[in-house]
Amino acid sequence: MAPAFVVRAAVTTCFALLGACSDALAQSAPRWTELSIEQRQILAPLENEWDSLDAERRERWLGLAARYADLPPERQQRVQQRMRQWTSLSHEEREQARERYRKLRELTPEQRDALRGRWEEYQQLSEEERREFRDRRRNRGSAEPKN
Amino acid sequence: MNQDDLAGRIVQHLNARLDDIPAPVVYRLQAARHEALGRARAAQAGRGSLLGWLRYWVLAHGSAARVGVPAVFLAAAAAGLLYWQVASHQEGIDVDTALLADELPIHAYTDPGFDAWLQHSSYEQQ
Repeated sequence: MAPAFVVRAAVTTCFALLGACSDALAQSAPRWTELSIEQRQILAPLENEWDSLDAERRERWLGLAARYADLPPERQQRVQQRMRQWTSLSHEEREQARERYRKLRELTPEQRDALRGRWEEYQQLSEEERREFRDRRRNRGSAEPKN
Repeated sequence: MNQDDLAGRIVQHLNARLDDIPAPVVYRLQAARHEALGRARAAQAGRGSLLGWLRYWVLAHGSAARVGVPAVFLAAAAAGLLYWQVASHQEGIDVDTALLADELPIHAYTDPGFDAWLQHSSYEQQ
């Protein structure tokens, strides 16, 4: 009887903890007017859509704003330029981007330079060629060449 | 008759009947005594190590152990889960920040054609 009671109490405590975390998360998602001046300056590109973002995404942006000051100026500028583009992506696209970034961040600086060059080359392809590669990846999950 | 007198008379009675105990019962009593002594020695010897101490403690505090050990494990599991959630959340924000600040544009990470083209062109170069 006693162990069963303890298990029930522990499970109840776990759920209470998770509930408290959710509440804390909801409360940590302030409206635009509740942000500090510094946060509003950093997150300015998101002003119009901020209040419509869910609590989890607002909390993520606030986390990014807290790291913003540590970035060099050119990176700060890139972050602000890309904020709206990032919010326009679907959840699946954002997850895909994160997953690919996690893989590519293991590259050496030289490899990353080379990758930037490859991206420029890829941009030189016609839209039709790029669409063909996209279709290949979506249809087959790999990019085995036809010829 | 007080308690000491009663205890004395019981002991006297039991001692007087010792010789009447059947041999199989004597054998079983001896075996049980040896087993109990063996367990006590093993528990005593094991107290030097952490595992031995834990075993000794569990044997000595049976009911408390049945309640306390699962509770401790549950609390440790809950703490571990909470830590993992917080750590993965922070890692996610780090990745978002680095990705948005990266030299490669966001499209490079979302365009499945770029990945396919990289593999294709690597294949052609081989």
